[in-house]
Amino acid sequence: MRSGALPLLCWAALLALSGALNAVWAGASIQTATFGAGVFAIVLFAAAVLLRPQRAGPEAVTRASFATVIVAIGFATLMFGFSFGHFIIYLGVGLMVAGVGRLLLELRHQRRARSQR
Amino acid sequence: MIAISTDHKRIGLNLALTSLFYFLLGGLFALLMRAQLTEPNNTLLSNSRYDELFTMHGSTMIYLFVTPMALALALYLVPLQIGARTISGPRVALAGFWIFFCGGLVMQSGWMTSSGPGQDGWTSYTPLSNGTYTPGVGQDLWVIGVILAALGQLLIAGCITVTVARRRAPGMTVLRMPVFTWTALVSVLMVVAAFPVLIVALVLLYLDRHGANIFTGFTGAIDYEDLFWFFGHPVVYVMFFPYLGCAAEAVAVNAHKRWFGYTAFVASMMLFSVLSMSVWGHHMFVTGGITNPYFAFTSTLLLVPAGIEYFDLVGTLVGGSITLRCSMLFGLTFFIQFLIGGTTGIFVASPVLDYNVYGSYFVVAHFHYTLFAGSIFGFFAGVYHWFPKVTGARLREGIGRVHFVLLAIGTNMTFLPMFFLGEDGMPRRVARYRKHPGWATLNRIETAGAGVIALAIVVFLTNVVVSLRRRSLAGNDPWHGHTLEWTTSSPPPALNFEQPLPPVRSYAPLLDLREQAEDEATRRAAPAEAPA
Repeated sequence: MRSGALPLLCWAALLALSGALNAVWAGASIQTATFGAGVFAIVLFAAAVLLRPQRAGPEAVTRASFATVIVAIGFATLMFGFSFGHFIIYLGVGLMVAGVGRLLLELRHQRRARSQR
Repeated sequence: MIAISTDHKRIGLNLALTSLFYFLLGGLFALLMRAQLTEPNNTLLSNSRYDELFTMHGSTMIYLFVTPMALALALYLVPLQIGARTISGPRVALAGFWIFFCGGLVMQSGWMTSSGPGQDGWTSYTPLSNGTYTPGVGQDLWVIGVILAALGQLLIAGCITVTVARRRAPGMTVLRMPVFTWTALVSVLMVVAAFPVLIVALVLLYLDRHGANIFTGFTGAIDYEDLFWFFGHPVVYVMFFPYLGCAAEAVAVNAHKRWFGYTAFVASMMLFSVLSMSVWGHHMFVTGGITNPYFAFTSTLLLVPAGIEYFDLVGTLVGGSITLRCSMLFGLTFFIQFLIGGTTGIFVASPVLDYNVYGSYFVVAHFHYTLFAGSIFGFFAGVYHWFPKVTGARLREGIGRVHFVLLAIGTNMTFLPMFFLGEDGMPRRVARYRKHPGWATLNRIETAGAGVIALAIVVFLTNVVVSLRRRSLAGNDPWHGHTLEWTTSSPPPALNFEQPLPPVRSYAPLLDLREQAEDEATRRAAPAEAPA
């Protein structure tokens, strides 16, 4: 087992234990559900750590990503549009689409750089 | 380039500077509130303006300053402490920062609307916050701003979690991770577990405000509180643990000793963080909608891990060669100030006592001793400790001591009288209070204290400017630090380490090297002394 997942799994187990105590003692379904959601989120991360293979060899490190910023601002603009004016939602979607397109290009360059090494 | 960099140090600095800006803004809101409360029946602010100010003060401080600043420290320092060259998911962290940044802008943009910004407190309880009782776009912007800020912080926390799990240097086992890294790890685990629930609660609140009628009746209001506080109490500890880590590192380095009882500390952090996920119901004792004994039991259990931490602190100090630098002064005061918040927490952990103080200034005093005093002193301990690593220059110790004295005096002038006001029955969240013996005097002391805190912050900012303009160069390791970040240059290069890392055999690898060198020197000196 990759030791990095160990603290995550221990923590999730302790939280599950506390959630079980809550379920027995309080028996409120919404509280059990929130405990369950918390445990599930951590187990998901632990599973990703355990199952995702560790890449060997050199790593192509990205120094900057304009596309990521565009996607993030696009998403925030979209959300802002929900309360401020629906035309802003379209602007947000447009930014996100442009950002994702550029992000795919960035990822392709990064993959190529890794394979060239 | 600064704004789009995927270097964890740059993102961490950007996040820290943004949070610091919001700290100043939230502080300004507090000063306005304190100005209003200087006199009984003061007419400086209207009731609704006061509601907006206390809502935006709490929201700005919690969602936009204390929590993101804790994550900024973790983002900057954790990869350096575990010997990683980069973080996992640098683009995700960059996206997290920008989503958070935009969330802050969206939340504050409510000031420019005719309905004003959010005005239902940082908790935004239903039914007060539904579309009937709080109509207007300002409250919607508050909801969306908080969703964005929380989502941004969740993404950053996810990156830190995976970095700790996958990118530790050879030899850096989980039980050799530095104290600060452990405090950061349990904090980000709490963010990963609790923040999604806040996001869900606020999405449901948004829908509820627009006619979905999700949180209806008594049960609906209790359900909202359950969902909110499942996030709301853990976040208190997310705002505490990393600053505890800062204070612990500063104390250990300035005592020239290892942090005492490391394994017990790690176990207590695990227990502390899990328990803090299990105590949220103590905010709801008076509702009658939850099982009080369970939450009173778990809340009282918090004493055990907290006690272990204080025991470790004392163990670290005893027999240490103590240097009272600014970082040490702030670190020690952090523990003393938090002790006041912690011990008064015993009152609100008991349903019987909580019934008496709920909704009074006692609660305001308690949570400011935990959230303000319990974070800001640890934060400044961290700033004075790691400023040389981040900038290559030391902060001025003399100005730092003035900053420390003013902050300690201001904090206690502002928040200590609140216990007496609360015990005397003064309710919180009121713009005007009636004339009552002693209340005006105590409120004036608090307002003066808030001014002293503001002065302390001005002195700190002056220190930063002076220290950066007339640099006293720090070198790689000005304090004889214990952890890996002190092996690299100040500030660290793009990929963190240019030299090979030293062997990691404990949670204080640099202290190991120094002790080993001292042992060898002693051994070499011993035969020479023998004939004499």
